Amino acid sequence: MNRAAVAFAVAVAAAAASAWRESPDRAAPAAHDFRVDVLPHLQRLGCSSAYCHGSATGQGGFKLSLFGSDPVADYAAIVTEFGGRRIDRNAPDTSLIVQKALGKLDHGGGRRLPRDGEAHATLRAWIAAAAPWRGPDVTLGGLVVRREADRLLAIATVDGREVDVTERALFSTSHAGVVEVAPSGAVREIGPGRAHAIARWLDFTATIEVLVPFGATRATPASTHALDAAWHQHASDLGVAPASPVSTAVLARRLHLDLLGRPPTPQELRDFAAKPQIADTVRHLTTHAAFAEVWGEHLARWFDVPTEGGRRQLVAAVRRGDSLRTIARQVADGTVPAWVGRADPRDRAEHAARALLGVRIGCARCHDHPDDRWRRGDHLAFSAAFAPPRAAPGGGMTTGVLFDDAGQVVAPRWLALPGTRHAGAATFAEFVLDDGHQQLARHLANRLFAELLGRGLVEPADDHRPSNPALHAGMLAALVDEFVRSEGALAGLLTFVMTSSLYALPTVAPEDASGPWLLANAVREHRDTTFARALRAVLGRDPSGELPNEPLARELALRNGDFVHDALARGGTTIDALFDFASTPRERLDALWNTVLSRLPRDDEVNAFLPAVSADLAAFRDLACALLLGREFGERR
Amino acid sequence: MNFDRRTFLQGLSALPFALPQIATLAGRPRRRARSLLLLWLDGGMSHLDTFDAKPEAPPEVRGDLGSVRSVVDGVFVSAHLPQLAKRLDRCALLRSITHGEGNHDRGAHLLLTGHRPSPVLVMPALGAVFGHDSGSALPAYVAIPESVDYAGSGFLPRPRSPFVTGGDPGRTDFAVRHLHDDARRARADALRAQLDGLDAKHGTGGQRARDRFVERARNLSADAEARTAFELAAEPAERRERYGRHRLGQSSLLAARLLERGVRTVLVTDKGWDHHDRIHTALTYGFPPKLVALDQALAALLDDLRDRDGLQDVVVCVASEFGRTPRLNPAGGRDHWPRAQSVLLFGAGIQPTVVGTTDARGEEPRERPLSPEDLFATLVAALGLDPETTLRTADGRPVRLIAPGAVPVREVLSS
Repeated sequence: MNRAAVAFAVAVAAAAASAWRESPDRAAPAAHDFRVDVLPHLQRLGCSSAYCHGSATGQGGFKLSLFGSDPVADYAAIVTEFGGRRIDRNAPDTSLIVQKALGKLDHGGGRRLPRDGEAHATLRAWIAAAAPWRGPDVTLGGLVVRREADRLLAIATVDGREVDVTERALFSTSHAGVVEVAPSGAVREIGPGRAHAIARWLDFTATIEVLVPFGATRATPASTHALDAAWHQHASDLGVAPASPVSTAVLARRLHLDLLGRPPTPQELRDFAAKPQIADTVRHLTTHAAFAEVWGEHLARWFDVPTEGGRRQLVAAVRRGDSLRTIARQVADGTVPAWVGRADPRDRAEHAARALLGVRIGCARCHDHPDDRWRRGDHLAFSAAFAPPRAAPGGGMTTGVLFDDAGQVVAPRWLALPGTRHAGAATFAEFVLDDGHQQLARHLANRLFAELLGRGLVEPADDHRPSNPALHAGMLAALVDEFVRSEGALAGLLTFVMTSSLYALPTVAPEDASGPWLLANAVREHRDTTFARALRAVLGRDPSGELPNEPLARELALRNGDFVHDALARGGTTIDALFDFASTPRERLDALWNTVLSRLPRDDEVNAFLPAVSADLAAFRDLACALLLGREFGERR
Repeated sequence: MNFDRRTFLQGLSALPFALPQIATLAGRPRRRARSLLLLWLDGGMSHLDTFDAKPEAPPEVRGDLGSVRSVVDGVFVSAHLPQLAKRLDRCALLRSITHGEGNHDRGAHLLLTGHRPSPVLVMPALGAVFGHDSGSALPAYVAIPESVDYAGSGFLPRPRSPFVTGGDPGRTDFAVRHLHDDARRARADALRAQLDGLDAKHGTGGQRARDRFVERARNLSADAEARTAFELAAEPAERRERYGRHRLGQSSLLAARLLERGVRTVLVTDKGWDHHDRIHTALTYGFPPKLVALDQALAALLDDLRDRDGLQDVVVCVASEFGRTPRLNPAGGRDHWPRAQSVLLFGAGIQPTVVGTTDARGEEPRERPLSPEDLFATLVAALGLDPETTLRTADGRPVRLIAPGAVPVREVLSS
């Protein structure tokens, strides 16, 4: 739900309003609004979780809505069901709900409520105040988290004043290996890294960064490259000296694998070594047909385009030089079919939001979730915009509609992304391209970054939400700025990331600062299509057959089958040519390594394999086979 | 192939991988099931023409295949399943499975994973969930001769999908491909091992998910004994005849052979049960006729599960997407009918019985309606898995193995 709607005027009894704990005042709370005061405690104590009273059938005849998503029903369950037997307004302490939660009466969930804690006091006070649904209106502003030494404070703005809601907030962490947050808000630093502590209260989410450096914080070198500057800041925050960049050969291999889906030829390697200009190389390689194939495939995966026809359209768009914005528009307006095969408007809506905006709304289809900003109403209203056209009563077709649980037609409404300029956009494409919320830029820039670096700044790369902040906000901002500046030009964005020092980092982080901190390039296995393309490029002919999907069967096929062996044994490959043209065994070895792995053999490899290449062509082919099936060839490093 | 083992294992921490207790009764020890054979009749088996025959229904419902009285009082099965009729007292027959998923895709997802299909998440099949940490050189989950949609790993990592044998086990030249060490490959493989060994020394990021499978492929290729599990030809002719020299029979025999040697789940797929036209011809003609093959394979499995030590802990489930329309259509076929279907269970952990009935025309359950989710929960219970098991999706979302509200069918679980 959008922030404006979240700032619903909630009610607190007149007496309570003055007793809100204004920070730093820690006076005893008095609370008299079910939604604002009682419900957060039920969430926090786990009462309304899926495995307790929030399950589909409740527990022990007492059912709450999942995560407190239906306050009206929960209020009824507690206050009016069974003639109100769960509470006793005259004797709050003997109320069933208090006795059970304290563990004084037999309770399947055991003791949940700490005696004399704030939750206990709140519950008692609320019951004593005749268990009101709501009182006079108050206005809720935002929520922020502050850190005071080893404790987090969740501070809400209520009627313009700051109120400490720590005792009612839910805390979590983005990386448990860096920081843990206890339910009380107590923080404990576990190990080095960059993480976020997350607080939720009612519909609000707030985060605070927790930085635990590996070493002493360092000075940040100046850089004119915006992404570089942000990354250097990140590395120096973490107290890690940037590693030396990889060799030009490794860089050339990365560029060719990333842009063309294959390793460089020996000639391309030489060219790049002679003139290691990344921007020029990108400009040149993006004109290759293979570039459009590779990036068309990526786009088909990003946008979840299911058909071969759709994939071909994306390949053609890349070949034409369409910008990512233009391509996204084609997907959003249906020119490139992404969700046509899905009949249910809710499926279409979920697909569209995730593919084009990196926003997942699926949870809200069935229930509200404290971890999610979208409510069921948002899901339904957004889905209504995806209702397929239906037959009009007088013939022809008319706009489709969606009905809610009560049988009423749902008015379509776009997702309320912060900053949206045209909430009344006429089409989905127009909403996607709205430059106010910039979610398209954020999403696609992050996906492109993830494709090149092996992980996104937001991870998973298609899950943008307030409770899943970017690893480093400055780096994401630099990418988004570049996306906006270049109007989403694919080649321009690739150049931007590829010319950053981040792209040239080795695969092992310095000073053993391992982890998902973007201090190294992640080693990753080629996708099957890349592996086949790379083999074809090196062998000069197609490998035999297709590889099975299941990994054991795949390895058996590679090891014992014909996939590579056959292509080599038939002769006439580049490998045979290398054998013929080289005049000494060492030359053969160098040529083989250079062709397959884009580098020269190390000393230990020379010692181990020189005898093998001294022998006949069959032995040389076997060595080539070993290289092609080994780990290094199958990976981007 | 991004396989984050640690994340995944967290999700499985609740699963008991240890051998279940062996309860010794008087005479033969009775065991809990620890492996599963799922015989999947792909396309949707007609319940009226197999396990839920209605001799007293009108001809357009009962069809013209005829029925026989089985050894279980009052239960009739197709006249083309005579051997099963004699052995039905060793089976638990569930005749009142009912659901609402009438297309192949959705029905298969429901029956194979125990969950209704969802647009956001493909659930894993049971074979993908358990038994993968056995340490055996053999794969934990094998599909013979092929797999089907939704019998795979779903949202779990790809290594959980079944190893597919391919080929036609009914052919005399059948062999599982790529299993054998080829002498011509030996040198290349040795060089590769040496190369990867050097690579690992150069600080290139340590262990890979792939390394484990390279290792397993090497072990399996080199381990003649483990490999023999796939060698149907090693079975005595008598046993091969008993299962029937056809695809379904020999697939079932290969399944039994693999289960005897430690494979935890085998999926045997029999395609071609989607009989929209001339169903009776389709079931009773051909080489061999569908029902003859099924009868032979089931009888052989039932006898082997009773007699052979190595199969004492196997539970067998015979199922498909849905039943078929009780009333024959104008083409003499039957269409999709999810409102009633029959499922057969037997083996370890299963109490022989007949559960539920359908009405006089086989249209709806009359007694004890059961859902596919209940069936799945029953298998989970028979296999001794924790019913509270929670799996985790790649993004950390917890998903219960058993669908909410599913209850195991207690009558068929032996105590």
